[in-house]
Amino acid sequence: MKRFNLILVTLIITLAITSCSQNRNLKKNLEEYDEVYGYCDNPHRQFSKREYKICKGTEKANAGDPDWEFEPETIEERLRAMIGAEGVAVGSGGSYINQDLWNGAMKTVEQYPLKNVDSNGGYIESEWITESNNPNERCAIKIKILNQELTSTSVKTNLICQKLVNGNWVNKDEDLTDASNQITISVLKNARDQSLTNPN
Amino acid sequence: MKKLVMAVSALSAAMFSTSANADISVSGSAGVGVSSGIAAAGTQVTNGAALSFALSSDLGNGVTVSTSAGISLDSNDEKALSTVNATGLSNLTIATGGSSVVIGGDIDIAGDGVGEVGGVAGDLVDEGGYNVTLSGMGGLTEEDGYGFAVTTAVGGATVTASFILDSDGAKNMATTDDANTATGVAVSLPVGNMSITLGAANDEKNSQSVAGGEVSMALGGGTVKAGMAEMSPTTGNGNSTWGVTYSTTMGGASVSVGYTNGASGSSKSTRTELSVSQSIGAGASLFLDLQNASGSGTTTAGTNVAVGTTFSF
Repeated sequence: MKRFNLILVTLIITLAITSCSQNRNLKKNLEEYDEVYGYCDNPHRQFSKREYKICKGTEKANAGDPDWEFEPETIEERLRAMIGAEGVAVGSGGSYINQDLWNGAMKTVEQYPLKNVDSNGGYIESEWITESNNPNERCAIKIKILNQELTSTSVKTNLICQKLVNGNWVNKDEDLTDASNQITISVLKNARDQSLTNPN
Repeated sequence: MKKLVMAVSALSAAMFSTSANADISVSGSAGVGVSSGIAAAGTQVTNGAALSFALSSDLGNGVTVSTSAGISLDSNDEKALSTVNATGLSNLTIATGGSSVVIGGDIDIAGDGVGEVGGVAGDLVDEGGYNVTLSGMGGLTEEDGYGFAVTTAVGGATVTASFILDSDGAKNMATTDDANTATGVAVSLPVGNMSITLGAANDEKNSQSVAGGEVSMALGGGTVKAGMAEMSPTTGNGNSTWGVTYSTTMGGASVSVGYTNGASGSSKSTRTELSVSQSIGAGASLFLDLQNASGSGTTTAGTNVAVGTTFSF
């Protein structure tokens, strides 16, 4: 057992040193094993006993939802959602988010069916988008307006694409950063057009 | 109206002001359920809830530090109301894009539990009173302690290794000369359409070692998982376990069925579990769990049932 311990300690130290110098995508690997084991039971995620119970409780509460992801909201996000739900405006102009960016985002996705539209919280989520000539792939667009400023950093876009593998939809193994950036650029362009049309 | 708007803005900024790179996220769950089994245990109603705060800070250059704390009362187990308390802050996680290091007093022994497949029901079903002990099932006696764990990606594989300085202390510290050490490693890698996980660990305190493996693959619209594990003590009988689970979605409900076979010396036991969860929207769901066990190594063999509802916040 002593030799076993020595081997493992050496392995741990080697992993810690070598991993720092290598560009590995651990997050991507963890997300792939979340698909296999579930987020809470992923053997490579460390949870305290309480965190694990909360995770399992949350997972059970969302059972059957194929799009569920364990993404706790920040206190700031929750507060803003609560204030928006109560109808109390935060900030000037009577709206928490930049209206030009909001209108620009709506114009960007106007041709797609929408699953979730929250004008108070500044969130738009499309339904899964498929093309008739490629039914084995689908994508969804998520746009979040972060504040009242008309800047490129006030928009957060996430593009999710999946492919059909053995009857199951799995996330595509490709970097969609450029595609997400193109959507952001489209939102900003439409927002600029909106601001020029309605300067007040 | 304008004064109210300004006051709310100032209040939120003062109470929840965070730096541009720091976040505090909140998650929680609650549940209530009814469990039934052996007549002596009666029909039991249990409820509880848990609240967790996750604190994280991005230091720049892709390095993130995080920890968590919370309050909980177990909704799946009989607990005195006085056990509701604040816990956590026991682990500190330092993560980069390629790896993460977790240090603290609640570090799982990596590799322990790999291969122990078949359990799909929640803990509430155990309150039914049947199937108190099952021979041949279970890994190391000690499951965690003070130490550190490293998780890193090696190509498409993921490796987690942990070293526990003290598996017995339940404190926020440990000395390097503590005798109750434990070590473990788990490796997961994709092989074609399957995912394979192998694990091994050993615990100095109880002179035990475990080794196990499991394989998962998509099948018929669901996921099938099979595994086996062996726990070997220095003296006495160890545990030899194998099991299989199948999970799928049927009409919006999540359905899982699992079978586990365990043996310890000449004592054997089997366990079959079924779990059905149906989302009712807004983060709530209804669940039904069944557990049946048998075999010479099963104490008070029978069928436990639990039904209830779970909420997430």
